[in-house]
Amino acid sequence: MEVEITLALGLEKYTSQNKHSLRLEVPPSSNIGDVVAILALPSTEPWLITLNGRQAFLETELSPEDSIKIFPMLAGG
Amino acid sequence: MKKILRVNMANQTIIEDRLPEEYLGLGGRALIARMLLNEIPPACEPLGRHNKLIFAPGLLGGSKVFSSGRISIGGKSPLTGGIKESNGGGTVGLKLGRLGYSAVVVEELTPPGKSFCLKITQNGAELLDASEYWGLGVYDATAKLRERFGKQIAVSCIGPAGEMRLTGAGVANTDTDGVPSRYCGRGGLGALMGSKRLKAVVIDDTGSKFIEPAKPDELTMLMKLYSQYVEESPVINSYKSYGTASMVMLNNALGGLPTRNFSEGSFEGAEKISGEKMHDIIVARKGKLAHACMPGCPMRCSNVYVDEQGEPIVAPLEYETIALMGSNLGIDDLDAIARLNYWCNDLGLDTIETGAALGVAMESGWLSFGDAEGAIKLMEEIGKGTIAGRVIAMGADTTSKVLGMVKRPVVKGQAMAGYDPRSIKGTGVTYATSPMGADHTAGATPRANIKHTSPEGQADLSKKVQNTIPIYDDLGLCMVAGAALGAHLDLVAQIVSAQLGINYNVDDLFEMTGKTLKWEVEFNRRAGFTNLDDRIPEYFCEVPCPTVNTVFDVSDQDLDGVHA
Repeated sequence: MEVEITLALGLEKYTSQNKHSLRLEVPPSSNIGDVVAILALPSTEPWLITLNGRQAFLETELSPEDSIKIFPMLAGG
Repeated sequence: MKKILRVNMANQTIIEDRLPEEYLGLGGRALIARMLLNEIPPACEPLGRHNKLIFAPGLLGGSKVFSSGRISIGGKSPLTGGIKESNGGGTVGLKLGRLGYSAVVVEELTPPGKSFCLKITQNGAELLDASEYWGLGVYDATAKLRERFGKQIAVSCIGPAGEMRLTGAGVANTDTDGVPSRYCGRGGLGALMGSKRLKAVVIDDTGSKFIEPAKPDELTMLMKLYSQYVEESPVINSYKSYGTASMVMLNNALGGLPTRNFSEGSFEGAEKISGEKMHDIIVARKGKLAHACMPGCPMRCSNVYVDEQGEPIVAPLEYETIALMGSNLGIDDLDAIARLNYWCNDLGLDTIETGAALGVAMESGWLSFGDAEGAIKLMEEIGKGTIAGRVIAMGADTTSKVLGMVKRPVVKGQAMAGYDPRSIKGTGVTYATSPMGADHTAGATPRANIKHTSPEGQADLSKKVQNTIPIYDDLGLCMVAGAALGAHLDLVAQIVSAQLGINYNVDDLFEMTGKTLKWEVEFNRRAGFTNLDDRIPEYFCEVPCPTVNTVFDVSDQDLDGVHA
């Protein structure tokens, strides 16, 4: 299945693809953690992730055409 | 030698002394908490003669440690009636620290008809007549002071709102460019400074040097590591490009972006007021990104937001202002938000408190959501000192009471910041239980890896963050550095050891923060606060935030456990 990924706020430079937004083919019943692994985001840092506009976690399972947005874990303003 | 300066406004005597033994080893927020508990009657009138206004750099103030020059200002809050410490960036903390001061304590009240500036140099301090500055906006007053005393000075200054003793007033501090827009904004400390009729503190550190570290080679090595952690941090990388406004789209996605007086948690115009949009506008108009508010800051989260002609409107434009004066007012135009920010800065007002007050006013029907022109007209009313203007400048609590609004986005009388407590519940716990009142800087939790809409674990999370944040506030370090240093607190302890020549470890850091909070909670208890003051207002506990479809439902028992 295909999912859509957005890397917010300059995060793309920490991925192997270096793209702000991309579509990714993943096996059925993949979760967000699998996507993070494909992108090769450094595992030392926690990420804030939304799935179709709601907060989601690494273990959240994906459905076709899901939209995932990954943010750096911001501390505040 | 660490020094303390006591300034008596009643008879204009100034006494310089060694820092008393019981205050040694304390700085910034910790020193303020201890001094207020020791020295002022907790039940005193905040605007009366018994209250004291304290300026305290952190323990590392005046050193070469990166971003360690924050200035803490404190006193009994005219807004909350409780203890207050509010800290800001710029150069005031650095210069006071370089001059060797741990604290400047302003006591008693000026006789009627007079007003003063406090000038501090290497040769001591003096009170100067301020009648030519009284009544001026913050920008004009600072420009005149810099004209008279030179561009090397740092200034802490109030505007007309502080002079009128309005509880939404803060204290402005100058940055590396001499621009007075680094605010100790919260808690109405501008009103406290106004009650003393102290227009400004002018600091000229000519002839002074950085405080030398006890172990210079070690500190140099530790600073390299500090830089490396900053350089590697994706969070700080994002702040450099997008400023703290990075938070807009993230918080919008979490359903925590205050929208139309906290009616919703996401805003249809969020992209138009986002950090990404701000970045593009600043680049196109040739403003400044990655601006440093303190000399030598490696994070550089600040910016100069300019108009279409490239002229500065305001510096910096920050997340909390964008949330409270943008989405919270239904305004989706960064230029309009920047202009409102400028007005607040010039009048000497906290943008969070004022934005929240305007949100209440808009919901009441006084003006419409999205009416930026109407909001600016109200800012003009504040400048003129009309009753309508004063109501807004008293903050969200007073405004809601005057207008008969049941929905009050406040705790302990202080407005909530840019996080809806129903959507980011850990920050809701901080709003409820912090001795400071609703204050994100006392323990913001969006960074935690937790389901933010669940009530589970939020009290423990908030407790942990509330106990960590004073590390930065006590040392004078910038909270933004926490994004890089938070995972390396051993490095922070080593920096303290190398700078001060004492043997400090992570446990010592937490012992200090534990005391800070204990003293603050105790001050509030003596001032009459009970656990019933540690609650989120009824509206947020009964009406769900439609974006996340949940109310604030952390139990009273959990809230009462935070400082137990």
